[in-house]
Amino acid sequence: VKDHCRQLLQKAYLFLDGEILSETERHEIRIHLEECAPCYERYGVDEQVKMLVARLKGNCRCPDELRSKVARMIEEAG
Amino acid sequence: VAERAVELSASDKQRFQEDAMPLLDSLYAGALRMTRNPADAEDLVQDTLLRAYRAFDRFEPGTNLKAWLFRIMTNAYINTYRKKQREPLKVSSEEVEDFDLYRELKDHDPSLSETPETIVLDSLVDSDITEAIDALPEQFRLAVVLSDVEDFSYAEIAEIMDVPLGTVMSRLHRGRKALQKRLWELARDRGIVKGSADDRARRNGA
Repeated sequence: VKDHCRQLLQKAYLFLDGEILSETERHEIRIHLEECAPCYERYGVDEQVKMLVARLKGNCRCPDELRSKVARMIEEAG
Repeated sequence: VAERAVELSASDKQRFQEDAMPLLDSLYAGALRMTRNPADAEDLVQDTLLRAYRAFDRFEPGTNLKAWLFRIMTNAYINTYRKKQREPLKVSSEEVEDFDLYRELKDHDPSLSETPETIVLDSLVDSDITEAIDALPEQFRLAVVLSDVEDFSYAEIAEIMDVPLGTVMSRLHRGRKALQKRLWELARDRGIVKGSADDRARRNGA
């Protein structure tokens, strides 16, 4: 991986994680990903893995029993 | 935590009910990935909520309650639950740094598809993902979960884990590499992808 690509990919990860970047930086990333196919694909792989992990968000709800236990505990704490 | 008589005002109590209790799903999901088993996760959540309730008069309204609760939970986990648990073998950082999922996907079977990553990653089920996350060394695991499952910013994660921002970024980077390596191995074990001949020889101890 070229140095230029490496630097831009690092910024692209910030972008992926929703970290605040300047308009100039966002522009720079967009342009690079449009022009550089390997970086575009590499970014795509990381994006997909992040989305895979994010799938776990919805599928573990706090069990009802635990919810009432916590409520009771707090009630008793005063 | 020293026992302290709770003397929350009625409005604080109500605010705790209204603001903290709805975060139970997030906290439980986080606790489950920290402790990696439901029984400890339940204990950790109860412990966290009790600590938080007792300290709630020190929570500054208007600041991020979810981050505050996760900071309490992370500390509770590190101080109490971690000691009970055996940590997975440390991933050698060199091995992790070298891993490149993009390369592996590109190399493994050029005839498969123009976008092999879609096929490989789509074939993994949620239990594969939890298994891969649970196998991560703790510091990587926490960083990845806080970022990708709980959507905290780098600054919030730094606050929660009590480390500098640069450390958060490096843990995230290495954690994701290790995660990708594990997911790749799982895909290979499932026969979703075929490892290269070299890989197979290595795995067979040749």
